[in-house]
Order: sequence, then C-alpha cells, then structure tokens
Amino acid sequence: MKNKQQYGRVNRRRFLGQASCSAIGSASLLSSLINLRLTGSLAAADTDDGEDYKALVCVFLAGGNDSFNMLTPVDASQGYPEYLAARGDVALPQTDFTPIGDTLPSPDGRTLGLNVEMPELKALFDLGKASFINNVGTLVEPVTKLGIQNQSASLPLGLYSHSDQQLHWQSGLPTNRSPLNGWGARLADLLDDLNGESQVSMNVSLAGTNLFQSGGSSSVLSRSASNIPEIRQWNRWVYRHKRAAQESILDAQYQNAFERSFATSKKAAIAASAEYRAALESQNPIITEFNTSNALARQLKAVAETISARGLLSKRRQTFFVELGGWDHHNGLDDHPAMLGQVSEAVGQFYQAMVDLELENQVTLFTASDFGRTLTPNGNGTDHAWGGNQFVVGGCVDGGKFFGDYPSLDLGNDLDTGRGRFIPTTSVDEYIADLALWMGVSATNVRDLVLPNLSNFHDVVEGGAPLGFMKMDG
Amino acid sequence: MRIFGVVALLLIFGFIFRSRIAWPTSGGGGVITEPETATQSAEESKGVRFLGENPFTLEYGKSNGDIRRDLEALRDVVTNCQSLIKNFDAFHLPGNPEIVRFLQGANPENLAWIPEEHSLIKRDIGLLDRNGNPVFFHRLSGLQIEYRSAGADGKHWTDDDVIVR
Amino acid sequence: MKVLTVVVALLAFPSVLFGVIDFNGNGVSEIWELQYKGTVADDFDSDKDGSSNLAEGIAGTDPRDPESVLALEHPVLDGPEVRFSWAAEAGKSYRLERWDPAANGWSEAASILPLSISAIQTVTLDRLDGGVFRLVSADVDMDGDGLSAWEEILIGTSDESAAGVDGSGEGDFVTALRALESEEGVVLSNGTQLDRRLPSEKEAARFLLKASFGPTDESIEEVVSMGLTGWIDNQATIPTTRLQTSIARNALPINSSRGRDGWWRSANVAPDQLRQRMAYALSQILGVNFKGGSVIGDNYLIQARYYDIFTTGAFGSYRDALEKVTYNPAMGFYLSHLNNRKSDDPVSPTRFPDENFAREIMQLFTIGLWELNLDGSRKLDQEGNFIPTYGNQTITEMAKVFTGMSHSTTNNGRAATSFYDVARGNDYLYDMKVWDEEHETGPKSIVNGVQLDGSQTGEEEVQAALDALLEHPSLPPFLSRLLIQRFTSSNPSAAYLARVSRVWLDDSTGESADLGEVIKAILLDPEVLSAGGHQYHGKVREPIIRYASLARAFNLVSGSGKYSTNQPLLNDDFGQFPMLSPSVFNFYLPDFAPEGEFRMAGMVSPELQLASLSQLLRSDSQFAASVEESGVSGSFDLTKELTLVDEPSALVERVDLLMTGGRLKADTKLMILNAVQSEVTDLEKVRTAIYLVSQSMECIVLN
Repeated sequence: MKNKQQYGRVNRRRFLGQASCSAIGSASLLSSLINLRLTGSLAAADTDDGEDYKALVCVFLAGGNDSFNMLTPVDASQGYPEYLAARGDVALPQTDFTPIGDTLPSPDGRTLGLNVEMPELKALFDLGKASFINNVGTLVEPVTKLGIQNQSASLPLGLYSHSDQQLHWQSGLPTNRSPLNGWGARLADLLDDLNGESQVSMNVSLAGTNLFQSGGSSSVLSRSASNIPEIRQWNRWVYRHKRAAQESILDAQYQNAFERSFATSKKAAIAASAEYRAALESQNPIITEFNTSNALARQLKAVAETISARGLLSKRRQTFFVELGGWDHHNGLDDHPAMLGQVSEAVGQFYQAMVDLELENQVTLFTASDFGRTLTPNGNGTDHAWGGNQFVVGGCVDGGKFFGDYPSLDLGNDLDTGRGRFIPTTSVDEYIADLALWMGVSATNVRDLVLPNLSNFHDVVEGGAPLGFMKMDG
Repeated sequence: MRIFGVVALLLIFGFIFRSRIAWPTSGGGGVITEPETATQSAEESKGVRFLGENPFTLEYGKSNGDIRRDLEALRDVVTNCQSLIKNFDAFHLPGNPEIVRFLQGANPENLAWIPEEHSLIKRDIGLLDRNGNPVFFHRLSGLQIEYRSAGADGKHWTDDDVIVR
Repeated sequence: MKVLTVVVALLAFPSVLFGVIDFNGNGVSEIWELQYKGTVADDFDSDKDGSSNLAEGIAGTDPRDPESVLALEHPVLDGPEVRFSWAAEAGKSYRLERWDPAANGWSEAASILPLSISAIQTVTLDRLDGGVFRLVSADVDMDGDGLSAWEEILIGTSDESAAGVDGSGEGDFVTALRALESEEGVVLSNGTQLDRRLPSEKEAARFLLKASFGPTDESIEEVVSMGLTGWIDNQATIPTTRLQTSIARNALPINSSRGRDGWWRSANVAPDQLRQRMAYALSQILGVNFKGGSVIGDNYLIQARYYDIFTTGAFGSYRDALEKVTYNPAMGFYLSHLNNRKSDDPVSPTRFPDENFAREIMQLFTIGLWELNLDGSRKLDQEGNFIPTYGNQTITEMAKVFTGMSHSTTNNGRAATSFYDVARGNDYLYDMKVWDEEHETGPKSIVNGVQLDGSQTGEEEVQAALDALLEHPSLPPFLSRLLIQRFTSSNPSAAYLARVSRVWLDDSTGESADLGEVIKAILLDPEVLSAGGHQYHGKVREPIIRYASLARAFNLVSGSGKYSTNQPLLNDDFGQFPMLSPSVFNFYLPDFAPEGEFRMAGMVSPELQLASLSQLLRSDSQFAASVEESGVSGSFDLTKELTLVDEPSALVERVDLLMTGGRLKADTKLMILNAVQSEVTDLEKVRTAIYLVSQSMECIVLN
C-alpha cells in the first residue's frame, strides 16, 4: 500500500559530486555528453558524412490541448455515440468533424474525424505528410488503473499540473522535480558537430526560454517573431557614435582575464546577432504566404526564414521551438475550434514554405502539450487530464496514419482514471525517440543520453524506432 | 435544593459540552482516547489517524466566515499535508475529489485532516463551497494549487469567482 | 682568484603574494613611501649612492642618505674562506647568490632570515672558486598576515603571529592600516613620525565598489576623510536598515514584489551599505527562492523576516545566522525540513527522514564536499586523493537530527500544541521548534566525527549538530572563499584565503566566527588594496550590483519617493535578482569556469555563468534604456555632470571615478570622449558618457 518512491525532495537539487541513490540526475547526463564530445566517441549515426540537413520544429500548445475534440470518433455505430455520451455539453456535432484516414484496425472498427477547422492538416494527412500519435502522455513506466488505485504505480511527478507536465514533455525526465536540461538540448549537443563554424546557435526559440532547448552546451538563440536579439539601437543611425566606441572597447587588448573574457563573449554575442541578421537579410525572402495576424504563423514564418538561411549559418542540424498558449479551457471550449484552425493554418503555411524551399523531406514539425483534457465537462469547459493526441508533419513522416492507440471513449474503461482521463498508452519517450532517431542520433545515445526513461518502454537498440512514424530513408 | 439541581445540571452540561470540543493535548492528535464524534472513531477503526482540529475543521463553511476564508483554510491544510507527506506530487491527484479523499486519509501515511463526513463534502464530487458549488482545484505545479469558488453566481470562470493561491 | 660582487635588490614576484601594504602596486611598501615622502620610488637615484630609489624602496634603505644603501662590502679572504658582509635592514631577508656558468643562472649560496634589529650581517663561505656573487634583498611574511616582517617591526606588530596582540581579532594587516590612517598618524619603532595617510578619491571609489552598492560623491568623501578602516568602523555603528523597514518606507501596494522593491530601496539609499552588501552575500550562500506561487513566495513579510536574519546578523556570528536560518520556516519550507518526521518504524522503516536540508547545510552552508586546508587547497589522503567531508551515511544521520521541526505557532501566532498544527500565513514569521514527538530518537553519528548518544532532547541535538558544523576545520576556508567571491575576487590566492580563514579561527572571545572581522579581512587585504595584480585578479561584477551602482552614482530618485524595480524584466535581462535564485545553488556555481583560458588555467568566474548571448545583449540594452530613463522608476540627478559638458574630458573623468574608481584605460577614455563629443545636446553628452562607461570592461570587472 505504501508508495514505493523514495521519500523526500531528493530531486530538488542537481547532483554535483556525490551519487544520488535512485533518481536520474540530469547533470550526469550532461557530463556524459561532454565526455563523449571530448573523446570524439559519438556513434556513427550521430555524425554522418552526408550533405543532408535536418530540422525539428516543436510546436508547444501550452495549457493542455483538448485533443479529443481535435481528433474524434465519428462512426455512428459506436465511436460517436460513446463520444457524445462522455462529453455531454462539450461534445461537438458529428458534422464538425471530417472523416479522416482508414477505419481503425479491427476489432476497433471506429472511424476518426478531424475537426473541420483544420482543413490544412487534413490535406497534409491525405497527402501522406502528416500523421497522428494518439493517447500519448508522460509516464515513468507502463501503468495500469489498478496500479494507480492501490498507489503502487510510479507516476510522473506533478501529474495533472501545468508546469511539471510541461517540464516533463520538454525534458523527458519525469522523476525529476527540477530538470536542468531538455531533450532538445541533449540532442543538439550530440548533433552540433555536424554544424559548421558559426556564432549563431543551432537552437532557435521563438517563445523565450524553454526547457526543451535549455541546459546544453550548444546554447539557444532566443528571439521574437518580429525582432532578433541585439543591443538596443545597435544598427540605428543615432547610435553610430556609441557603437563605434563600443566596438573599440570590445576590440581592445585587456591584461585582465575577466575583462578579456567578457569582451570576447560580448563580441561573440554581437557577432552572432549580426551574423544572424545578415544571414536573414541576404537570403532571398521566402515567397510563401503566412497569415501574419496568426501568432503561430508569425513564429513559424521566422522559423522558415531561419531554415532558409541555414547555409549562410553553416547549419546541418537545427531545432526550433514555437509556442501557442491559451489551451487551458476550463472555462469553455467555444474558442477551441478556432484555435485549432489557427494551428492548422500556420502548420499548413509552414509546410508549404518547406516545399517552396524544397526542404519538406528534411524538416519535421511535431506538437506537444501539457496533457489532454477530461472527456467530461466541468460545467462549461474541461479540466486537466493525461493522455492526448499529437501530430507530426513533414515529408519524411509516414503520413496518413494513426500511431499509438486511440482509446475507447466510454467512461470507466480500463484506461479511464476518472472523468475520461486516460492513462497514456504511448509514452512521451516513445514519441520523441522516433524524432531523435530521424535527426540522426544513434540508438545507443537515444537510450543512454537523450531519453534515459525510454528503456522502461522499449529497447531502442534492439528494436529500432518505437512507433515508426518517420520514414528513415526519407 | 432546586438551585443545587440547576447547578448540577449546568455542571453536567458543561462536562458534555467540553468533551465535544477537541482540546488539543500536548501529544497532538495522536490516538484519540476519547472519540469526539462517531465518525472519528469510525476513522480510527480504519487505521486513519485524524490529526486534530485545524483551520478546515474549525472554519470551513462555518457561520462567521466567508468563501475566501474557507479557501484559505483549505489551502493551509493542503500545505500542511504537503509538508508532512513530502512526495505529495507523486500521487494520482487530478483535483476535486481526489485531493479531498487524500486529505481524508486515502494516503500511505493514513493521516487525515478532513473528516470522512462533512456537510460540504459529497462523495464523487468532493468539496463544495459554502454556496453548495464544487470547489475547483486548479493544479499549477506539483505543489501549487489554485483554489477557486464559483462565487455568488454559482458559475466558474466568471468575474465574481473567489480565487485563492 | 677573482671574487666579484654585484648587489641587487630584487622585487619578489609578485609582491602582493608576499604581503606588503602597497597601494600603488610598485612592490614598495607604503610605509617606506610615507617615511620618505617627497621621494618617488622610481629609477631616479636621489642620493646618488648607486641604488635607484625603487631599489632602495625594496631594500628598505633611505633614498636621501647615501650612507644608507644595500651594498656588499669588499669580501674578505681569510684562508680557505671568504667573508661577505653588508648592512642588513631589520625585517628584510637576504640571499647571497653565485653565478653558475654551467647552469647559466644564479644559484643560492646562502639565505639569511630577517633580523629584528638592523645590523651588519656576515656570511662565510668556502673560498673554493671565485665567482660573481650578488646580494638579493626581499620581503618575507613569516606569519602570513599580509604584512612583511620589515613592516611589522616598524609598526609594532609581530611577524610570528597574524593576529593582533590587542586581542581584537583583527589581523595585523588591518591593525597596521588602522595605524597609518589614525588621526594622529603613527610613530614607527625607529622614531619616525608618519602623517595620517588617507585614501585618494580613486582609492576610495575602488574600495566602495567592493564595500557598498556603488560609490557616490558623499560616500567617496566619507572614505577620503575617515580612511578605509575608519569608514568600516563607522559602518558598524550605523543602525541597521532592515528590509522590513525599507519595505514599509516604500509603502508600495501589497503584492509579492514588495519585498524585492524594498531590497532595491535598501541598496539605493540605506546608509549602512557594507551591512547591506554583506546581507546580500549571505542571502546568496544561505539561499531561499521566494518566487511567487508558494506560501513563502507571495508573502513579503516572510521574505523580509528571512532576509533580515542577514541584515541584522551581517557583522555578528555565523553560528547565529546559521541557527536562525535553520529554525526559519521559510528555509524549512524551501529545503523541506519543516514537518520532517522521524522514521515510521525504528526497526524496519519504510519511510525515512527527508535528507534535503541535512545535505545542503553541509554541502552549501558550512563545509562543502571536500576537506580543506586553511588556504583553501583540498587535503589529500595517503594515496593523494581528495578527502570527502561526509558520506551518504552522514547525511542520513544528520537528517535524523533535523526531524521534529515544525511551527511553534498556529492560527497566526498562537502557541502550537503539536507538531501537526496547521500554520496560517503569519505563522511563518515565527521560528520553528523541535517537537520531540516526531524527533528521531537513538544515537547518531553526525558530521565531524561527533557522536550523539541519544540521551538529548531534539533541541539539544540540533544545537549539537550546529556546533559540530561550526567546529569543522573546513568551514573557515569554505565560507571565506564564498564570501571573498562575493566581494573582491573570484580566485583568491592561497595566501589571501588563508589570511581570511585565520580570522575565523582567531576570535579571542571564544565565540564562533565573527563576520564583522571577516569582512574587514576580506576588504582590507594586500591582494585587494594593491592596484593591478596578475591577470586573474579581481572578478566580474554581479549585474544587479552594477545596476544599483548606476542608480546610486547618479542619484536615481523616484518622484514618489518609492523605490520600485521591474524585477521580472531585470531577472530576465541580468539572469539574477535577489531572493530569486533559481535553485539552492544560487545564480551561479562557485566553480563555474567559462570555456577557454579560464578552464585551462584552472581559474573560475561564477558571474560569467550569467553571460549567455541573450543576457549579454539584454543587459547592455537595459543599461541603455535605463540611462535614458525609460523603464526605470524615477529620474537621475545629472546636475553635476551637466556642468561639465564644456569640459568633456572632465565629464568622462568624473563618470569614470564614480563607476570604475578611475580605472578606465587611456584608449577607452579617448573612445568614449569621441562619442561624447559627437553628441549634440548636453543631456545626450552626459548620457553617452554614463552609458559607455557602464559598458566598459573596467566597469564590468572589479579589479
């Protein structure tokens, strides 16, 4: 009956010099990464010699997307009635969904539909460039309803809470209260050797500091959709005299090592900013239209522009982080379909931009979110839940398919921990593993460094990609 | 004689009255030798240890309070629970009613802050505010919870909501 | 057989490591320069005795008197021996060296320790071969207190012990400096009367960069008139500005940033600046994150109560501060020893006491991971390995000590009757107590080899654990280093660190270490007071301190009299804000070393951990915006600066003095001057000067 987890807040801290008993220390992952890079012993797959370029784009839907109103059973015999019964006031009419994909394999037999506000995503799915990963969520280990009821299951810390779940999605370290680095950072550290000399980081965030890209040695260039980071007024005419003085301050010789080091770092920061700006400005503007009143589209446009400039930035691997908030629909789902529409439009325009750049096979976009939401309403809206549905878009995606297991929506089933909060049948680790392998990380490094929790679900070294939604030869 | 009888009655009533109030002893809410209510002895028989009177039992829903004070009492009791059960964030606690059950003793320590029976607690719904509407436990992080009452209009997420963090 | 002699007075490199009062960093003691005021220690030879003034300064001879000079008399050949003699100055050490043609260098023939009185010194050697000999004179610091033997003799302290004979707990260096700065001046043991030596404006400003949140005209004037020692003494007499008081004076709306705004006010205007700096430093070592969203985060009263442990205790004993921190519920909440229960079963427990606080009180608050020598170097065992200060078992045992700690009040201030009593918000303002009902009984083997036999109460055991920590020999060097890193230097030399460590141990009152003496030893040390130094001298200033210096130097005044700061923005721009350290490990690690030369040299720079691309660009932009008064709450008083626009170099000099202590290099000054003169309006000229100086390396780095 007792919860077996080690008592106390052991995980609040980093593990500096002493081994900790049970939990995985994120600092030890980093030091392993550093060791690997220094000894040059990255596995072959991490440092391929091809001319290829690959980029990952994380679209984070902050707040918990109610994804059972995004992708929904629409067959009249079983799926839709179950949905309607479970969702009550927040159920959408059947006509609000467009049937999509094949019927789910027997004995399931249901048909799914995509919210009608997402025509662009539907088109990509039909084209074979997008797929869904269903009922995916944070897990420490596979879990059953019984295990939860008798409190014997090991659960991700802070389950059902926003910030903890966001951290777990971005770090892959669900037993860690204060993870120091994200899986994107760990992945970037393994792949940055493929990139050429540049002051500009391979990781670009359009949404500020995020754990996904943080904590590695390859740094993050953080910018807004409309501005790149630079010193206030640096390029303005009114600043020119100050700029001249600043530049000579930074170019001066310094006896003192601190002065020297700071000057060097600041100079590099300015150079990075300048290099980035120059690369963007000298690249031909992308021709694809983006709806600039769509906040997500604005961010993805900046991503597309940066990808377009990858050559000038000497990049063969890049990661991007964009975010759209407002998904915490406790108060009602009235604006949810429109938000889904916003995502669909932005993703569609982004994919088109990749096509226009002839890079659609080299860029993969994936969604992530804190959690799914309760099937049952709370009155107006829906509350925090667990497993949810995500999608991936890209030319290398094995598109037009459903991965994972779309759960039965009948309340009280074996996955339902209450109110239609489903135990995920696919872990975040399995979802991410496919992406990491596609980016070129070796299976061994995926297992040991990028996703230390993956082994609780899948032997990636023996078994390859857990889900297989990426076409590796693409 | 009559006066003596009245005084005797008063004394007897006084004793009964006193024994109904749980004066905390210096040993804290340990195994209670004098069960104050039937429900609390029922808890004891399940092995649940009621920790003694606390802001929730003393104030929640009581006549001289208000919703804000109710939620603050709730918050402080949950905070106390989190400091005694230090891996609170490792449990399966989506919100109301699970957190309430946890506080009623459904935890590995068998500690209880909230009695099994309470006029504002409904099985399967959980804790209600003093207007009879369910309290919403909005989990922000592993430990941080935002407690929301629908307020006077009985509807959540309207301007008259009472919110306590 | 030829015996040639040469005389050289060599500067031991670098002189600061040898310990000498040397403000201008030329290797010659200040005491010598004061004795012979009017004679500059340079290559000129005033008394034409063949020895330059600089050489005489190093040798300790009189540059005005040709009879006083370091010289070898003719060697006297006497049978198989040869005798060398010279006039030795008291307190100087000498080496007689012989040129070794085979090795193509000088080799030591004899070394002579200092005499306590000046006298003729004679050395006899085997005559065997002739050769070229030379005499080298150098300073020694036998007791490692920062004063050379030569100086100690003149001032009257002893080179055999670092601490003063007066039992003040002050190191000899401070005693000597105090003597030099005393109102009546000082009479040296050789009868010479020295006039009072007060700091220059530049020295004062440089000192204030370290000892306050930034120099102002007023504070520079204070230091110049009181002396460094006088100023520090005076600081201790100023009534404490508690954070609670600043918050109240600000009278800003009640919200969770009230506490941080109070901090900003204190940094700006509190007169007890040294105390405020010390409090801030302690808050980084004994860190609690008060970010919003928890019972402690949203309550500024709780923040102030915690932080005021450091304002009130800044010059007191560290044990007191540590004890108050241990019993404070904000810390109890943060490191989870609040409501820490004993094991559930003494024989076969399944639930164990929480170890968080037990670990951090050792690793971060007192002794660190490795046993240290007094000079900060790690001790080695027989095989040459580092020695851990404690193991996992000790943590478990210490965790047992910190059980049973819970609120002492309930219901907003009434006495609690049980460990389990639920606290309301204000109960966090009262110290915790140890409740024996949840205190782990039984014997415990805690840190530093201390055994608790289990017969004591919980309170007694907590006290015993604190005593054990304070008595641990690694504590003085561990904490000294952390404090030095907050004030003067990221990489203190072993000698500097040892000097400060000794002050912890030297307390003659028998009580535990006195932080007032420690801060004096940190700020008044030869390594700190000498200009220049080796390339890893000094440190990068904390951005928030640099920002506060800007506000202070130019009198940032808010119209309403309230000091508030846009803390979330500053936290993003600078990567730090007081009481918001992202983890118990503070804003930066004490051992952070940026890639490149620092790592290769084994040097550290914690503050460079805050130099990400984003922070580098944003902090510059924040200074730029603030100088233009956009986004800063209040306006600068630039009256004095505006009067200097017609003499732009005077303007730049003034700004330089206030912001770097006058350290701007000539080239940088010129660049800044050009930019200033290119601006059109007076206000723009002044702002340009301030902004560019604020971004100069000399302002960013403390040296």
